[in-house]
Amino acid sequence: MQQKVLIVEDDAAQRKALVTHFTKAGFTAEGVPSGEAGLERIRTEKQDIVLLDLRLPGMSGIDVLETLRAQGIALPKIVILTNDDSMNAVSRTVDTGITDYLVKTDTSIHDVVQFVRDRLRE
Amino acid sequence: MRNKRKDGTVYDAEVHVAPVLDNAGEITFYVGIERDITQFKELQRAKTEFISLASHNLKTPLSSVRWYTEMLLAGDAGALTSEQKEYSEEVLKASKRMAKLIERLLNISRIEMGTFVMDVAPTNVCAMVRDIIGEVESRLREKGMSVEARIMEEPCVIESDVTMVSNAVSNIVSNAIKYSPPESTLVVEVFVLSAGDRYQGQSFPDTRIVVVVQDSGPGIEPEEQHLVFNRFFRGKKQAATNVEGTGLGLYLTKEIVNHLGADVWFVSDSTGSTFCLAFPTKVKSV
Repeated sequence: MQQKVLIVEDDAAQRKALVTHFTKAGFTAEGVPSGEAGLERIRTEKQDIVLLDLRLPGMSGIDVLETLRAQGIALPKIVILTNDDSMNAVSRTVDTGITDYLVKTDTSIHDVVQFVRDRLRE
Repeated sequence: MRNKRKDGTVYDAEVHVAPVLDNAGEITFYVGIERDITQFKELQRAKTEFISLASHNLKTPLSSVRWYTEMLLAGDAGALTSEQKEYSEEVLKASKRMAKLIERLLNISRIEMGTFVMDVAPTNVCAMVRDIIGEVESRLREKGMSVEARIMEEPCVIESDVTMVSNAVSNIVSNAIKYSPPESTLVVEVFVLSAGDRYQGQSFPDTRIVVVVQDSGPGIEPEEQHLVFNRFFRGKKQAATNVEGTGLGLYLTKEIVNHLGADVWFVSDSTGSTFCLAFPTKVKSV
């Protein structure tokens, strides 16, 4: 059975690239453009893994993580995929218990897929 | 320095003081010139903030450029001709170069804005320098260069921010490779400089771990040497080569060492340049 990847990314071009590439790599990939939409999809459907951007319009990636925790929703595997590599963003993410953190400009799209594969194998 | 206006408000001032001598060469009095730099500092802050914002916004489209190019090269949109592949590889290389440039601008603005939070931990400089040499192996191989590493065997541990120290060392190693002639040898040294001991014209009141990178590049013209750590500076000889540079690497290095309470200096002539970094054993943020 194909594994499900949810991509929470506000930039349409990046979202499309990720959905296309993950689909070609054999995943069931779905992209949503906001934190609110991501939260809704995590609540309503089981996801194997979520790629979550931090800088999102409205609800940020951190807000999504904190809301999930506050509402006692079991977290799926989550990988932060962002261009915000400031110490503040990293430490706020780690505070929510998430340690998988990829910086987009440093990571090839193939490495993103490989990283997700490795995490799903664990 | 900070000064107070008549109405009691505090402002930042730049002060120059110079002695005035009599005919016998004795100091008779001093002349001081003070300039209110409040507006200048505000402009600097606004500029730094702008660079930070612009850099973040440049990263988003750049990630798309990189990923779509990688997808093209992987054949996701069908097989490419050799010419299409070659052009796509150029796009990919350029996007990575630009990402590095943006990262540098961001690091500079973080340091200038004081938002670069230091993460101080024990750092083995010897091991770090060996790792950095390992990371640049392919670049050295491309130019047929070799490294003569004179790195002390025992661990040389300092309490500092590992990312910043690593960035400073990487910058001078990278510069040395960039401007060295093919087939040349880079000398990289790491050693302990005791308090008061002198090395390449410098001594310090405390013990330092010194990293030295010596190249056999074209050197820096004497009249340009005082400009080397200025932002966007590129030497005449360096600009005349085909080597790409932004003039930000050494500026960033200087900003980093200032932040860490470390020192950077160099000696240079037509046979090459030697850049030295001296890290205190415990970070002294300034």
